Amino acid sequence: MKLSAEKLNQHSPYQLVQINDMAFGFVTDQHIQYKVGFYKYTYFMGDGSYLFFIDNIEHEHGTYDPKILDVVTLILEEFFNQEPTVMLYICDPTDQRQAARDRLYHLWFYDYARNHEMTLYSDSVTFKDTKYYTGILLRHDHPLHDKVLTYYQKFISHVPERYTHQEK
Amino acid sequence: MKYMTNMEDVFVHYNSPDEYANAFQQMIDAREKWREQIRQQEAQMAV
Repeated sequence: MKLSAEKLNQHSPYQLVQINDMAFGFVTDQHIQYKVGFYKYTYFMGDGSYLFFIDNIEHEHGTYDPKILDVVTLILEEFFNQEPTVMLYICDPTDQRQAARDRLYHLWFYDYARNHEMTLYSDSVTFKDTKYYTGILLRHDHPLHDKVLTYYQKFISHVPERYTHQEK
Repeated sequence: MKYMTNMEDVFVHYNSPDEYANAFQQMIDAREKWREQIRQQEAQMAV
């Protein structure tokens, strides 16, 4: 799969710089640098799923910027238009703001004009004493939609068991 | 498509808690791997 900055820049509010086939950089009006893109995650569906990341490299915090959400929406729409695929996310827990980040995914989804075409499901997992928020996003017309969701729920539900057991 | 013709082989199957734990650890570690990939590719672009 390849996502094209040239194509996305026709509609993107911020100029995207192509870093690799599935990653871009952009700078906001508040001069904050972001990296955004996908990383193939072969431990879930072979080559059929990708982790989505958006990173504010310098960890700067500006005021609310709706253009960032517009960029994310454009990239995700292009991603899901390419082929039947699955997006996973796991919220960065390093500053204990993982729950807030998970809420941002849900707020984005709630506001997304085409959310009736998509499924967003998220869950939390306590793993090695850290609470992780992780989610899955896929189109309703994914040929394995129900199987993917069931498998995701099974996958997540099996993750912490070992560690719960060890703590006893 | 691959999904349609080989449905049962699409999902990765795990047989033990260790395997599930490793798979999830890989999900956690992917963020730093992605960051490193980006750093390297940006460095190449700057040359």
